Amino acid sequence: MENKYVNNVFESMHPLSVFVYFMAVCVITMFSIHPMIMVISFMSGIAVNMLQRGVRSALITLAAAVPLILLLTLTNPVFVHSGRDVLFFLLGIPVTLQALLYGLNMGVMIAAVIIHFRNYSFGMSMGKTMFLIGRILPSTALLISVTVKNIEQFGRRYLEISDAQKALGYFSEEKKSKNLIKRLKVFFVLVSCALEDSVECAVSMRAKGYGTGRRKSSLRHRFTSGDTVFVTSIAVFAGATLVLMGKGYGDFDFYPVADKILFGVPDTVMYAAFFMLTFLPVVRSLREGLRWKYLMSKI
Amino acid sequence: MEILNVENMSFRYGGNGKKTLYNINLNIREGEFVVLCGHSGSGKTTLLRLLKKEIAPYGELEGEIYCEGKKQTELSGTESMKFSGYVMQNPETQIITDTVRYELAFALENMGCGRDEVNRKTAEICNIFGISEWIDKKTYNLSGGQKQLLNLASVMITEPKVLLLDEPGAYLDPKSRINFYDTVKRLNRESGVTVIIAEHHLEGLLETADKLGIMESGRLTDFGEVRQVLERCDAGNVIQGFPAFVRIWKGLGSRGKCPLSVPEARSGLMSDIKRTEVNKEVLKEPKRETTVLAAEHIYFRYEKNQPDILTDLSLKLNQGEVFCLVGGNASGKSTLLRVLSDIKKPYTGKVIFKNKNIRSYGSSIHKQGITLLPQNPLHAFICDRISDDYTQVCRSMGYTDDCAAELTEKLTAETGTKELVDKNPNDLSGGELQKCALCKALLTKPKVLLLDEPDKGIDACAKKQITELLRKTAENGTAVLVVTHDLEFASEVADKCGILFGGRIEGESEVGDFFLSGRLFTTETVKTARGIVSGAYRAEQVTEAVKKHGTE
Repeated sequence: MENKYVNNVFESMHPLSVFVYFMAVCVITMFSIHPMIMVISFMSGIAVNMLQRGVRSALITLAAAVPLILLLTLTNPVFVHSGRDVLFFLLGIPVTLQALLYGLNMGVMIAAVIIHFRNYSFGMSMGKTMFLIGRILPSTALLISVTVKNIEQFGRRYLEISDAQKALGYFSEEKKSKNLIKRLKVFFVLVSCALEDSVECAVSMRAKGYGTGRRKSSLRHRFTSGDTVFVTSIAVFAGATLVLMGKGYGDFDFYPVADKILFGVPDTVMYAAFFMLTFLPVVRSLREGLRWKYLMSKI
Repeated sequence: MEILNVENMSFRYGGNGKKTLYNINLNIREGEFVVLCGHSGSGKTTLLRLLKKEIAPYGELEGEIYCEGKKQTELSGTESMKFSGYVMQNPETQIITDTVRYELAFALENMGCGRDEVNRKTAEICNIFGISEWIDKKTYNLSGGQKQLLNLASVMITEPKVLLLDEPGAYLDPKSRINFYDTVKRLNRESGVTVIIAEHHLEGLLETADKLGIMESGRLTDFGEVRQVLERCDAGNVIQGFPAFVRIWKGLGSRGKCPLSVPEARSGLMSDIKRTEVNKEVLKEPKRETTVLAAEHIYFRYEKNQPDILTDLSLKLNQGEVFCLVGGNASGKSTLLRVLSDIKKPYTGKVIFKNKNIRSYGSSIHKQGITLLPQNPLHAFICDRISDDYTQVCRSMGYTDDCAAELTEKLTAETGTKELVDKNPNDLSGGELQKCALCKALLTKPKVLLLDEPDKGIDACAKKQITELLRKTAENGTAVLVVTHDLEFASEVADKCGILFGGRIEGESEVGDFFLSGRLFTTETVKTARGIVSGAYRAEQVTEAVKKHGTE
């Protein structure tokens, strides 16, 4: 079994739904500045990770994110000196509270985006990504498929050629530097083998009719009612978030003094809308789990 | 109904002086199973490729090709596509995509088929071939035999009328090859697809074929019903490629009907031969017992949490002896060769070379006398010209210029590779490449020569030459270890044989005892002549013994 996921909630969804979800979450995260948005985004990333890979994986991700966030928090004051409250001086550079806070904000944002990208790669198998590309750019989809196959082949081939030459006494030089040049030569042999093979592959492709007519992608996925609900929900929540952001509730200044995080009605609605957007997969997963238990209990 | 007609076809590759094909005339009826045989360079591949418009090579074509009565040049793109399918030799290079599903859908997508049609055809073809279980596998994780079946399936999915196969079994082990042929035969019988297959290994094909064609140097020297063609054929080098029972029949005077299978041979040909036995003196003499390379209780695995590949394996290679190791796929043969040449190290046990542990030689072991030839002879060459590789090897061995020149002269003459030295390795055929690789290995003056499937993908003529070269090398004092699938090849080249099974070597014995003690796992000759000419495991032995003692 290639799939070692605890619960791949995206497995049953149409590739387009998965794509739209991650697009919405990432775009809003990247173009926002509000700390609440960042925090919600980050937490949802961890939550979806936990959903897909289990608690242990989520904790590891969290542990990996901390150094990254720390790094960004601490390096921002080095470059940015605005801000009213100077905390201390580091090698003649004033380190302000506001600069640290801004760094923290950016750190959380970048960590969140990275986690989302990672979740995307877990959720969208090669087949699903190919499906999306294949519908729009079938030639590109083919190119990717051929490249993947070739990369795998090249790796094996390189080791084979390397071993073969070793057994013929090619690498038995005393100097290490000469061995390096020889490895480069082996690489060139690999390239020429690959070129020769590609000619045969081209013959095979032509024999199967490549280039005689138009190509159509044939991979299959169905857009179910569940997908419709999912995508509509994304639209609603993303829409709400964006509207409120547009109205200014998403603005946040750090310099010279950091704004306070407000909890008025429109602000809270914005936070809630974004929260719902990002936690949609969790909600869907919980609902499916409950439904499964319900159905099982009836047997 | 005639499905394919070739009239007076000649072909010359662009820029070449000589013609590759001369005056080919061919008439093939629908549903026939046609076999073309001939050595590499005889033009089989060129002929097959010319039969399919899309992959026809560039050059000057004379004469006409008719597909179902229509001229090939007048066929539209779609018609031509649906008319024929083509399967090539090398299972790996033919595969285009990374998943089985995508590979099967490829040809249909090119024809513009919609999603539903593709799904239906994929389901059908998987059921016919029995490959439903692999549908989501990656193509690079399939075995050689599986890949070739996939290639066949991805061609048959378009339901062509004619199936063109260019030596599909060349790179397969015997079991996968038989499986592949059976599938092709079944397709021909059940769906009536016309099959034209070019092959060296004719065992198993002759009984089902309708027609046999013989190609020599670009000419179709004979074409017709299988038995008649075999009876008429008297060209020495073509006969070498025929199965053992055909060669025995010819060697005994071509009386009666030519047998097309072992049972036919036993009931017809062998039944009127007096019981006799092979002259023991003619058999090979036992060799000197100086052990050059020994493996003692070797255990090996690639990774810690994987099972052992070699388990308590012990082996002795003696000076002047050819040891042949046979065994199934993934039995560990290539791994063993790597361990013996110090490319991989066993975690227990030792390899002794010239009475010292192999590790004490360090990285110079390969200069000291152990040389391993890889499975793919192309990997043995680093430079653009064969002669540059020879120069490089001489240099790395530290020969003086005079010494190197002399040795190179001598060896190229012996291996018959003098005319090939200025060529690029990629331009040579399988057999030529193998001979050059052997020459390169011999330039290192090895005490131990290890070969990984030297008979893969080469024709009968080249195989014979390689056999002679290896026996000569052994006579000069080298210990030779050959790993192979081909029992016929093993019977010709070996002094001793053994089977690699369960990580150990089983059944190690002298070549005669090895082949005569089995009923199933043995050469065609033994299967044909068992109990009638005892002691014979090679075709020539049968003909000699019978000639000597006469027939009833």
